[in-house]
Parts: sequence; structure tokens; C-alpha cells
Amino acid sequence: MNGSSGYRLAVAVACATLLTAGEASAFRMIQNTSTGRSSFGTRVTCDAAGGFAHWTRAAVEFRLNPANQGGEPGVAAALQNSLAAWTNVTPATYQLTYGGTTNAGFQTDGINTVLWASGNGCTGGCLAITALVLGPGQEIQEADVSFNNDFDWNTNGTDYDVQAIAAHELGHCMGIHHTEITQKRNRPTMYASYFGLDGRTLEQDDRDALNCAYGRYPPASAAPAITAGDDTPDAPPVELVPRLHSGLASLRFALRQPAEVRLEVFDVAGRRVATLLDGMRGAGEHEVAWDGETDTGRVHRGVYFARLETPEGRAIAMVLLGQ
Amino acid sequence: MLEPRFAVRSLLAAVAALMLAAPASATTLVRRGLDRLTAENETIVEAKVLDIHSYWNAAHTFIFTDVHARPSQTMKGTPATDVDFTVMGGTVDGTTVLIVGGPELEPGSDYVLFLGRGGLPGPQERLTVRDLSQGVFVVDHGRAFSQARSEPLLPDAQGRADVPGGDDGLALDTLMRLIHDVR
Repeated sequence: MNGSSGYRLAVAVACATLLTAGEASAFRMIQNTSTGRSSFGTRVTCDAAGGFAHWTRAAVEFRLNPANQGGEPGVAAALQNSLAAWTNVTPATYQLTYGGTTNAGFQTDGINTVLWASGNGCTGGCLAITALVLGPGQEIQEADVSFNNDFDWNTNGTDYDVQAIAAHELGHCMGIHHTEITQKRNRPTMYASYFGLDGRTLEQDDRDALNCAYGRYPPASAAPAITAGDDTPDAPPVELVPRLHSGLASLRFALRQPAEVRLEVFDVAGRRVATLLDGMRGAGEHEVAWDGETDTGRVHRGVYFARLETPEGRAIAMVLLGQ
Repeated sequence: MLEPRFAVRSLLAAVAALMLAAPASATTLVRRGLDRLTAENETIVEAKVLDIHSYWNAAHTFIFTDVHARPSQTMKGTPATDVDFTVMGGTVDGTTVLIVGGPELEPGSDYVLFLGRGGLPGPQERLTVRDLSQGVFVVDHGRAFSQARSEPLLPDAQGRADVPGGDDGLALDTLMRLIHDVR
């Protein structure tokens, strides 16, 4: 069997596995619906219209920062075991490997890092936190996991067990959200609050989730890792994107550098009804809400137009204002 | 005549908005009751998010989002007329840093926010939502719903794993009274 036909067969088997998994599975995938958001709690299934976060390469290397409790005996082995649990899922061919130690941190640097720290947005009641770096199309380019060093971690199966929680967080790293299965026995590793010793091993629901990603987004077998400093595609011209929720409108735009910005709203007759922004704004993504308020009162629900003017260009968007 | 491109986009936005449901949390969180949320945060407000701004930090190693909100009532602390805070993650130039389980804030929406300092990678002095999804309650028709309500939490020291208010949420005046009692 040549590589191509074998690959197609593997994908077909993955799809067949998903079909036969049926309702026994309740996994959810992580979907980036908007700026830095995850999924809004709706169940993101394998065939979700908006897709979900996924890798496009099979080989994913993780490194351990040995600072703090990351340097305790047994931690590296526990991490390697949790990586192996996901690697062993078939027919998916992801290879989660241990790349040794690093001094990299919880940052976007092209290195998938597992570390222990007091901070990184994971304080108080947070045991561990996962950050995904996504490119266009929700392609996962990097995944970092920060364990809260303020807790006492163990590798002997007692709370909090490194291997069990690493297996759980690595599931997030592969684009898998929490499962909706809540059964008391044989709980999936991706159940939100289950970290018993059995959490070290994956259940069928966990495997179905990974095979879902594999079936929908078959990874290239030997795509090179993306590293910091790679060229990024040219940014699009200035664009104004309207959104609507709970009857409110919001407008999104991006600036490559700090600039004078003017954002105005007009009615269908061309009369200006509101000036939402007029002044300097910083570089980056912006989102501005409009609930229909103007200087002279509130406008009726209906169709309006927003106009954005910046030194980088001008953009117009239609705004549907609800009740 | 409207350009079809704009009409389609707007319709898609409307459909997406209709699909919104309870937010999810997906980091590993130990349950925080109102007592600890109140005691461990310096500012608690009901506020409307006016705008958000995502950007790379100076070292270009992390994307943060600054949130600008206007409080309608203060439950703890003495914030200025408007409150500004920073959360991890965001989208800049097509790159997204997605914090699995981070707070989810929409411009134009009302929230009860539990804000404290410290814990962010980098700007330690900035106010932030230290308790992630547990530190944000969505306000809807006079009731406040924890953003952590759709996910089970690890039990706290008292063995409790319930989200304050549960699926039914808490009436705002009840939440305010409970916070006042803790203070």
C-alpha cells in the first residue's frame, strides 16, 4: 500500500469511527467564535458549521520548563505519560512528543511549553490554564499550559496528580473542550472536574474527540513547526465588521498602528445619528458597542450604516439595530 | 440599495448572535464561593462593557485585551467613573491567543465583575478578572448568571462545587446584599 492510499484509508476509518461513535459521545470542541473567546457554551460538534480549533500537522512537540514544581522528580515522566495517552489514540496519527526542557514561558514564541508558575492568569482557584495561539482558520499554531505553583502537586495519584491534569490540559491543547458526559464511572479525562487516578487514561469519549479533529482536519504528516519570526500574511485593508447580540450592535476594526479614528453612524437617509469614536486609538483590534444612543436621544431599531475613517483607509458596514 | 455582501454579513452576524448561550469555562478551576470572590477582589461592579482593545505586548510575546466599562453600581471598592481592566487573550492581525476558560466579555453587555490585581503575565499592576469565568456574572433581566455555570468545578475546601446562583442565577439585589454581607 502506498502512502497516499494508506492515508486515505486512515481518514476513511476515522470518519467511520465517528459515525459509529453516535450518541455515546458527548465531546465538545473549542471554537474561536470571536475575539479570544472559546465557544459560548454551545456544544461544538464535529460537524459544527463554524469549525473548531485544530492542528494541521501530526507531530506536536511539548517542552517542560523545570522551574518551580516543574523540576520535581517524576514530573517529566508524568508529562511524557500524558503525552503518550493522546499519541496512542487511533486511527488518529498525532504524535505528541516530549522535547526535553526549556526556559520558555507562557508566551507566544513557537514553543509548546508546560510550566509551573504563580501567575500567568492562573491564580486563586485556578489549577491550570491553557492558552492556544490560533492562526487563520482556527489552526492551532502553539499551545502552552501553566500549572498553578501555589498548589501542591503530586505524581503518586493523589490530589493534585500531574499526569491526570496534564492529560486533561493536553486535551485542550488538541482543541478539545469539556465533555458533556457526567457519568460517575469511567468518566472521560475531558470531564471538567474529574482528576482521579483514572483520569490518567483516556475514555472512548476522549478518543472520539481526537479522532473527530483528525477526521475533519487530516494533518499533514511532516509539516514543519511554526516558529516565532515566520512570515505572516499581509494584513487585510482596514475593515469594519458588524455584529449583533441581544439587540445591540458592535463594530470591530483593527489598526496597524496608533491613529486618529472617526467612527460614525448614519441612517438610511444619510443623516449622521451618532459619533462613536473621534480621536486617537492604539494599534490592534477594537470593538465598539452601539445600543442606539445618540446625542439627542435613542434611535429606532432598524438599518443603519457605520463609517470608519482612519489614515489606513475607510470602511463602511451595515448595522442592524434590534430592540 | 444595500450591497449583498453587507446584507449577508449582517444576517450571519444576527444568526450567530441568536446562537449565543451560556459561556463555558475550560481551565481547571476550584470552586470559588461569593465569600472568597468578594474577599479576594478589590473592585466589584455592575458595569456595561463599552469597548475592548486587543494588542500585542511590547515584547510581542502575548496578546492582551483592554476592557473599558461603565459601572452602574459599585458593590466593593471606589472605582472611577469608568473602569478599565485587562484580560489575557484576543485577536490581532489574524492571530488569536485564546485562553481556554477565560472571561468572555461582549461590548454592549452588562456584567457583575470581580476585579483584582496581579496574576497577569506582565502587567501586574493592572486590574483583571483574576478568577477567570468565575469572576464574571452576565446580567440579564435583573439577574446575574455566573459564566462558570455551564461547567462543573472542583470542590472547594468545604466540599462544595456549586456555582453561586446556579442555572437560575441571582437577582441583582440579592447578589448585592450577599456581597455586602461578606464585606
